[in-house]
Amino acid sequence: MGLLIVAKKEFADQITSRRFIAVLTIMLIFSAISFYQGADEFIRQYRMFETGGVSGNIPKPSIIQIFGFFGSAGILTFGGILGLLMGFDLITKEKESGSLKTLLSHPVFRDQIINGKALGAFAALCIVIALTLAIALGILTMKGFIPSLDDLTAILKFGLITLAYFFTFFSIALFASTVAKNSSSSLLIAFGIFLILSMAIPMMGTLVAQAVVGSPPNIEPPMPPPIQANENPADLEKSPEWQEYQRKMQEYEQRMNEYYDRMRTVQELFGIFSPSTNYMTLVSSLSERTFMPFQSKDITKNLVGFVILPLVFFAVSYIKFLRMEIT
Amino acid sequence: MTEKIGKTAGMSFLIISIISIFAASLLVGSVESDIKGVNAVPGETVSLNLVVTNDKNYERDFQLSYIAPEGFVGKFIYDGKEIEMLTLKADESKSIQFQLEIPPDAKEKEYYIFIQAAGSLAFKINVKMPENPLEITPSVTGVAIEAGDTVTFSISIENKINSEYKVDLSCKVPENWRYKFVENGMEVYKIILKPNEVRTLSLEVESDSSSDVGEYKVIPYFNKQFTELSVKIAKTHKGENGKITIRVVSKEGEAIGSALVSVTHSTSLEQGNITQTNFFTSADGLVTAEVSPGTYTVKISKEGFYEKEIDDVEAKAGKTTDLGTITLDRKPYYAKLSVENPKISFVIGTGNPVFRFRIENMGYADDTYRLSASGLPENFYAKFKEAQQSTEGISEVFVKSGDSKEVYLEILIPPNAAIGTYNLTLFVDGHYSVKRNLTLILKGEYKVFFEPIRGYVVTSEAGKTAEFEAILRNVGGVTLTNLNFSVSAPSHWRVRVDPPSLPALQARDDIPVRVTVQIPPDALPSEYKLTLSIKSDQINQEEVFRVIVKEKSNAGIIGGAIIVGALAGLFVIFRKFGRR
Repeated sequence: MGLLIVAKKEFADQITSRRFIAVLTIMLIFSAISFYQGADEFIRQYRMFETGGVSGNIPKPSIIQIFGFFGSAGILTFGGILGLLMGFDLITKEKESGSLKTLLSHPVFRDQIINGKALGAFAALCIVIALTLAIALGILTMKGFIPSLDDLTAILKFGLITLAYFFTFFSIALFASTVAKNSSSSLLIAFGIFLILSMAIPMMGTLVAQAVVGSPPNIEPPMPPPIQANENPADLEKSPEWQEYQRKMQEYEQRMNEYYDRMRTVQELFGIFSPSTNYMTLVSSLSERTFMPFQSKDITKNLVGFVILPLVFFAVSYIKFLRMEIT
Repeated sequence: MTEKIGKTAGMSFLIISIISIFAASLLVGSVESDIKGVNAVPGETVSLNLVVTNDKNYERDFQLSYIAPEGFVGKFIYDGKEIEMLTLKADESKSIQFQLEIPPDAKEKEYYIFIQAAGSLAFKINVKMPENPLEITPSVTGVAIEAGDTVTFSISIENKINSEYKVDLSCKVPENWRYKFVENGMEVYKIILKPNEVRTLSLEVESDSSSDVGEYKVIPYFNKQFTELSVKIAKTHKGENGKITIRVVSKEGEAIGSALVSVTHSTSLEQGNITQTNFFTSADGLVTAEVSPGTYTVKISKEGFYEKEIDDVEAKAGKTTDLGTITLDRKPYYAKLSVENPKISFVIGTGNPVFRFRIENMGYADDTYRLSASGLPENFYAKFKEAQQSTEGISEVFVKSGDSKEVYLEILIPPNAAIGTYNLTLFVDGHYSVKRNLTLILKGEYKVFFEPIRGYVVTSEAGKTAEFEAILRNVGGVTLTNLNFSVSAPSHWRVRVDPPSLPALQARDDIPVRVTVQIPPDALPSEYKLTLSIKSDQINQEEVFRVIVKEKSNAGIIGGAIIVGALAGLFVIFRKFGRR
């Protein structure tokens, strides 16, 4: 019962805070613009697919495309910031204002407090996600596209992944809030971790990959044989010079692919510690049309990393809060 | 050798003289002549006057005989009659004549003849041919002519010997020149001259028209004797073509126009490398063939006539060789078939094509011709008519000799005739048969006209049905068969064509076509292109029409409502949890 009361109070505090409303508004505006553009592009591609305007075995466009790169980037950035802002002073503010003591004087356990705060924040994040998705759906419908059940499922999956992403940063902020002495330190720690996970680790992945794999093979692509102006292309392809050129080209491509495959393996290893990389990978997996370069088909490690990271931060925060000395 | 011969002859004469004296002693008369020896030529008849005397005083009969070399024939003539015995009275003398024919082939030498009549007599004949037995006198010895012309020399020949003289005539002329000796309009090459006869021959010399300007020698030979004549070429035709003129007429004397005159070089004909030039006679039957100099074979042919060939026709440079009038014999049966329109382009559905042709009986006999046509496809029929508008068909036609008749061949085309080119053969069979190939090009207009009832654009909404209606008209002249309709539409769209197929659409017939399109509910508002394919055995056609899927009228409201609802929900939550 105490858990729900704390959660309810936390939820009410979150949604009525100016910070939440400000970031939510910015995020919604940014996302709405992105959705609007994404919807246009998606509808254009969908029409081409429907009318057979494109040739070849092109997959049906996914509705996830409406979120587009900028939509996802908006969520990626502002969602992260929102998560951080929602959690960085969750404990420190209570401590600074002394309300934590008051709270603990009530018949409520410490775990109920931290769980309730997390639950309340989670509910607030759900509202954010639901609102964002409802606006995207509204824009699509206004443009004349009625999503099918498959489309709605894909949107739901997108929402859940985004929610997990938001909650990851909330966990980081909660962790910072439990370990820091005051709110400003907590904000610094939270943003520090945010920057490390979102930017430093991917960059480090690239650096380590380059260090481990080394520089690209020092080979030049072969030069095609000279073509005579009056030469028949069919004859040219049969010529021994052209065959030799093709053989060398295949050899070149094979060596370059091997290099980039090794590079990507190392980068992906670092990528599982980056929530943003995991988020983009998982979102991309919903659509057959990827936003990510060198997209790997196997998303299991990203999913594991994506789930484990918030749990680790939340678990550490939980233990820390339970053992915290409140003065 | 001559000495030996002379000795032998002297010995013979001596022996014969002794025998004669001995014989004379036995005889009782004498025979005398004032000639003891004569000169003669082979074939000459020598006459000797003999005086036969009876020395006895009583009448006696004397046998007349002679001894002469083989081939020499003698006879005794008395009072114009040949005699073998002579009766003389006592001491009577009579003059008789002894004629001796020297054989023409007698060799030139001295011969001895012995005559016995009352007495005996021997005389010598020296057979010898004179060196120039003929006296040759040309009236003209030099003539100036144009190259290719013929010149005639008149040459007088006199036989100077007393016997007939055979003369072989020949002449030496320049290369490619010709000659002939003519006497009384006839070409002669051997003559016999009687003793001392004078004959006048014409030597016609035909010069080569390609001869250069200059003086040429013509030497006529009379056996070994000859005389020399000169021909001066004043003008040459070297390098010029020759002309051959002919007039071709029928047996009735009518000029035959358009007869084919083929001039073939004889040398090329022999070598198998035939160079033939064709000419046609004019309406008056005349033709002038201009050809390079040479010898040609001229063949004249004309439909309905037997052809004629003239060999060894010489065309001389710059000269005209007139072959005169050539008469061609008409065949008994011959027909000429001329089709006025052997190739017809015809549009199916506009009636029946008609070939018009004329049968001309060019033989001299009347004939009846059966008419037929082959090569017509199934369900096509041929109908022969005497007039274009006639409905009555004929199967044969009678045409008098020299007459002609016009006949019409109507091809009855089935309504489902296929477009294409048909090759037919028209047969006209009488005593003489003739056929002609005809071409019928059927230009079927396979044409359909697709007429949408409410235009090419249909407007509807997603999840609803759109109907596109049109009339398909067969505006060509040909029945279209096995019509099939199909529509290519975006995937997930369900399309039905009514009717989906049609066994046939008659010419100028029409049929309503309805395309029902079930637009899927998730179809985006847009303009969709649908293609209706009309396929038949004859033609394929595609018609494109557009379906405009409009936005659902309430889509904007729903979308807006979702957004507003979401914001309202947020507001409610805000209000509910915001209250402290």
